[in-house]
Amino acid sequence: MPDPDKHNLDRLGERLQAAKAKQQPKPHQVASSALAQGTRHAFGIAATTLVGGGIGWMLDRWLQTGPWLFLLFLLLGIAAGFWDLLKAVDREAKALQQRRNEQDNEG
Amino acid sequence: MANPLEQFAIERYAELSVGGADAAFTNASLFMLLILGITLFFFWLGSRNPQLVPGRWQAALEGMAGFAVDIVDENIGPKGRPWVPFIFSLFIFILVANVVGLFPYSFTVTSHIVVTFAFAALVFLICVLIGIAHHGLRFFTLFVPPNTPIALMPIIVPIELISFLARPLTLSVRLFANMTAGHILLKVFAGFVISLAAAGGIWAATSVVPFAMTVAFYGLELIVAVVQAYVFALLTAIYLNDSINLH
Amino acid sequence: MEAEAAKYIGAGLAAIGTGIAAIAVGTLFALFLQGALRNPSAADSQRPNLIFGFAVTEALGIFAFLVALLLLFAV
Repeated sequence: MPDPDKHNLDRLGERLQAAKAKQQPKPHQVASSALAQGTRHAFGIAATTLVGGGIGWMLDRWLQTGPWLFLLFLLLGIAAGFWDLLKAVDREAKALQQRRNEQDNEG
Repeated sequence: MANPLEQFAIERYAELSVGGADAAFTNASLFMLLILGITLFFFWLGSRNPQLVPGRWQAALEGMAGFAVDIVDENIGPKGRPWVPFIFSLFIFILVANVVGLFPYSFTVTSHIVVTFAFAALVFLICVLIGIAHHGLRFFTLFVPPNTPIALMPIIVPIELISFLARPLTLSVRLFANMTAGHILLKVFAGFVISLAAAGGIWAATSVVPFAMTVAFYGLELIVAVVQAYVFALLTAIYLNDSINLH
Repeated sequence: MEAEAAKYIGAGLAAIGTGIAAIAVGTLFALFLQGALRNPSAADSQRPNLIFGFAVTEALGIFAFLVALLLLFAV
């Protein structure tokens, strides 16, 4: 009977499309996921800068060492933010590479 | 035009003091009790007659619980099962608090930095204490990433320390800023509607535009409310994972 | 000029930096989408670079905003 077969084939086609879409997200999905993660890290850089600056400023007041400790910890805070970003991008690139290896092994 | 900031004012209803500290019963406390009541009510609805094939309320409750279990499983792994109630409670409370704040004339509990910082400080303290309890003083090797050359350690350790200390700050300020900014914008747009309509004549006709924008913005705020609760729970699970499974 | 007035003017000038960051982020995403139009299947492979570029650009814009806030409320 053609009808149930066609129905099953159509369902299979839809499931294949969905699986392919998960493997290869469309450009606007890539952009919005990059936007979400990027905002989190941009905000993270600003936050670590503030925390570093705060620590440096309090240490300065306690040790009376002029503005030098403040500047040092401010720079450390900025570096910490960028470090977090680099680690996250590294993780993302590794996950991407793993997915690509899986795809190559399957196909 | 009405002041968009007076929606955040704290009103005291009854004075109380706990050991000299001010613990007055305010509208924030009232709304937190309301959130608790709503949560308990929906949980009661969902677990009244538990069946093997769930009815609607039970299915909804199971879906949300499964969501929290997924967050924990994906991020902490098998050692994380005891933490599911904690993540679940955080997620549900912040979700209901954000959504309740969207009703007209209500008060958004999470739009005050005190509340969000209390949550973030709680999560941070738990992460540190659990890390020390699980691993003793080896917990502080969290700040030394594996395969670090000894020469770079004096730079890397303060950097890791600073980014660790920035966690409660980002956790609290993210939720606070999203809620506060969203609500201020909502009030400002709504104020435009009233101002334009009160001006009469042709201006009253153009007041439809800010009204449409308010409606659209409400949809966005609903999405933000749910997403911010999810992000808070997810980041809590990630930080717990850092404490429990050190690297 | 009094210090109060100078603070407000300084805060306004510092906030111009956020606008410049907006132009930069728009350029970044425009170039990404342009490339994605020509080669959609390769769009996903550039996600880490996109995240990195966007985060760095946005961070600098947030620094400008922070300077404005610091001038208004902390100095």
